[in-house]
Amino acid sequence: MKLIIKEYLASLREREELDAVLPDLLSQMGMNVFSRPGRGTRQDGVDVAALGSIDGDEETVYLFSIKPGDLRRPDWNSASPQSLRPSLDEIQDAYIRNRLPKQHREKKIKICICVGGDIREEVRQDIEGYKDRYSNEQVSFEEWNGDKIASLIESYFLREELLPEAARSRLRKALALIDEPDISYKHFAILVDSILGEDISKAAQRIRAVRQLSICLWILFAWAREQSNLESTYRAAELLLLRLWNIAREYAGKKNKTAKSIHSVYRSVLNTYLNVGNELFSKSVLPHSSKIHGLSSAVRGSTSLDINLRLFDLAGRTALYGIWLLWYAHTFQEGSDHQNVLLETSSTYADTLKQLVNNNPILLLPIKDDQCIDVALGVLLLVMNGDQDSIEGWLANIIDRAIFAYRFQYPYPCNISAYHELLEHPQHDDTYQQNATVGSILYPFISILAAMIEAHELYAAVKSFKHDKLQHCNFQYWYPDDSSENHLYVNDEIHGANLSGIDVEAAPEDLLKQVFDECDNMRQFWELTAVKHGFWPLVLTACRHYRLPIPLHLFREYWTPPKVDDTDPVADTDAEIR
Amino acid sequence: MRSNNKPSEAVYAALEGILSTDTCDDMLATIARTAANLIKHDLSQVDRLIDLVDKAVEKGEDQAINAAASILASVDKQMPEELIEKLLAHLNRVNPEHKGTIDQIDYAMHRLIRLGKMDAAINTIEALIVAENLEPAAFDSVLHDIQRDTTLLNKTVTRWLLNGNASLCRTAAFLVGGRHGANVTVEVDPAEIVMTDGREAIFLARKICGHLFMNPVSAASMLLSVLQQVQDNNTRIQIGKLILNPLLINYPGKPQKLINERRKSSSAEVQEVLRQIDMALDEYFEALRSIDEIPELYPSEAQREAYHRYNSRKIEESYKEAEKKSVLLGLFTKQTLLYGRTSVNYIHDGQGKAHRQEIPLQKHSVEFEFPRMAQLDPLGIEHLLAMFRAGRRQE
Repeated sequence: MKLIIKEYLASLREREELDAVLPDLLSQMGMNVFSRPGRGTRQDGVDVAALGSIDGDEETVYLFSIKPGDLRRPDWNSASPQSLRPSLDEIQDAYIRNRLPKQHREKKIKICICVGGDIREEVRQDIEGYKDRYSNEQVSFEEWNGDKIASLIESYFLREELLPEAARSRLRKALALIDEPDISYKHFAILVDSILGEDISKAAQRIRAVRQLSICLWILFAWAREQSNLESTYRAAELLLLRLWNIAREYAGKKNKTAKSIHSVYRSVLNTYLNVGNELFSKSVLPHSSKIHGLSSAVRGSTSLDINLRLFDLAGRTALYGIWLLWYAHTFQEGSDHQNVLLETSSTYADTLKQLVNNNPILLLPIKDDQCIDVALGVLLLVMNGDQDSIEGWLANIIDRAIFAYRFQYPYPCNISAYHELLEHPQHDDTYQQNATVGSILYPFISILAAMIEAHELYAAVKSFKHDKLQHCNFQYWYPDDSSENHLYVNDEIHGANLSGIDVEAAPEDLLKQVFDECDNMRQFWELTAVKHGFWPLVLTACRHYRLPIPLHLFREYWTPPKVDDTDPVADTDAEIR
Repeated sequence: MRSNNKPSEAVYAALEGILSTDTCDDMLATIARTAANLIKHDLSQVDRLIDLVDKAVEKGEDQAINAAASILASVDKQMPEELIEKLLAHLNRVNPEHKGTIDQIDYAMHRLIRLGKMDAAINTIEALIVAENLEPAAFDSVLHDIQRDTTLLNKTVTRWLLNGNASLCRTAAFLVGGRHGANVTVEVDPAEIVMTDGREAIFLARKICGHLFMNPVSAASMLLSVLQQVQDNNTRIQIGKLILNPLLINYPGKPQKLINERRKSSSAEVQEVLRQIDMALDEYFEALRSIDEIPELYPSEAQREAYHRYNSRKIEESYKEAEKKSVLLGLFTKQTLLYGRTSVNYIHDGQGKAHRQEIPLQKHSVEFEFPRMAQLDPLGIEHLLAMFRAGRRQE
């Protein structure tokens, strides 16, 4: 296990990646981390600062200067802002004098040179010389290399008593089978189940469990990145975001120490998810979405079904990631550089989604009705970017193709989910056709959007399709209800309410009244903790991951002006939905 | 010789009498056959006999039409032109359900083509295909004749595609892709189209794409032929776009090779259009090649296995279906060889001797280029081709 952890530490590429692990480790070791890596640059050479005692030693201030990978000569003393020696100088000259909290200034101080890999021999003499020269009674130096951090991680997070052999075995399998993403993900999911299924009723147990899982996800990420296959990691990251929210939600809005620790780890998992997404999309989607048939060809499937399934999934992920970025942007100060960069990046994802659809025409018709979830995520991102033309274009193409496919018996959207049955779809008889289209969320969703954006032709097309061919099909939609809060993030039970018989043959305003009035009846959406506490994209993540329709409440927000209501449960959230 | 077997006037009178009174289809068919037969024996009464045949067939129904077809099936140089014309005129009343009559017509047209009466044969089956919506397989013999004659093939395919009638276009596709001449090259017959009218050329090019798509070499040769014959640059660009997409973007193999082989003999204007197509194709495929492996997008192992199981079952089903239709398997006993590269057999000559025979096994393979969009955008390509097939002439 230690080798796995060491390998993972050595593969961390950015200082921020090691930053993400170290504070949790130190906290788990019982230390008080009083300075965490902030957004932006380090503080006078210090990346992480903590107070505590290790192995029963005297209480000491630990100041960490972090460097990813191995430490080589160019990393020791050069003009680079990441160079180590200037940072060590800054710690002594500026940090200890000016920034170290007054109450700690008399305490012993250890300046820790923290590297993910090893300190190379070529700089050994320089470091030893530096340590001899600047060590004194109060200040001393310590080296924390990959080996030491791996030992600490193993001792404090993953040792036998804390992480049972069965769970360790699942982690090893998840790592070993990264090239078989379905199986790797399955092992990771079982690992999550096993850790969260233990007795974690005490606060300390909970904190340890979420930290363990956070580390496990990081290890999986680091290994997957080395193997250039992030599929299982992406899914694992989504899963963990959801499963850990089920714990974090109990501490939402609280300010005690446990709550702070849980929030801190949860933010760290969210950052990991964003990192995984960034790595995945910047490698696989952004550079290739502008190439005609590019990503369709990259699927290397045996059949067009493979391309259809993979690309709708990819479109859903791309859209969701763009939405998360938009949400993330609003957690920064209004008008700040960070916010502007994130808003721009989110907008790039909206453009990428459009290119993806335009250049991969297989995205112009889902084969499964539930791929409406991915379409809806895409539409939501475009709605948030105010791009109605693109929405209308995409949905009009979908409905045109659906009518053509249904009429001439090409693969039309159906209610089948098993892959082997989809291979046989469609079969050419009327009974089959009716059975394969007994219900739909796709067509009513298109009608609702058509009504919202006043796309009359599109609305009429669905209306006549329903009238002429789909009288047997129950047009429906899903709304979260009272039971959703307890099951949405873990998917352990069926939950929510289904509005049946959505009347797309009625006038557009009547349809909107029908479905949006139900939003009023189902205000439980606003009571979902993820929404209430400002993590509303988490609901979308749950819908994508567990295949549930995207709540119409969100679309409605973009249809009518936002309500000004002091009692609105969302009012105290970190980020508003818009 | 004929004059010696001349029938008497009483025979004519009897035939005419029955014709005027009898309405029985069988009887009318018999009158037609008898009258046609008598022509060989009494040239002096040709007109009267032709009239008898004509009226009998006209008055009769399915049997009479069958008689007309069978008379035509024995057509030779001696058969009067007028009789041929009159009989041909009746064939459009054939009941498409009557396979026997259709077969007779097929054979009759085959005989006419052998006699050099191409136009008469083609006009007849063309009218029948349009009127009765007949499948190409119904005229197996005559279509085989057309396939063997390049000039006739070019003429027929051009004419039928340009006609735009769905059944005729399907038959044109059968001609270039049917079992006797799969993927043959075809040229546009300039006598069948007014090339100065760009709209006609584009209409033909779309029909080529719509109907010959599954025979890409035929489609490429014919589209190139259109391109070489059109008169204005705007039309050339339009045809060039169709050559690029849907043709070459789907079939970058043999069709492109064929176009490359023929480009040198093309005019400078055509070569320029082909150069633009090359550039667009290069850019398109270069972009695809620039994408490294993205394993995150690969189907899962379970999906691959499910597909292989599905595919194996489909191949087995189609193999069994093909076996049922095989003529050879009906004639011979089937033996499966599990090992070896040659088959050793002993043939007994009936005189107590066995002769050893060693037959080396041969490899047989069929190469088929699969349209790329069948995977990348199956519905899109079907939709596009359906639009081309359904397209009508712009007035």
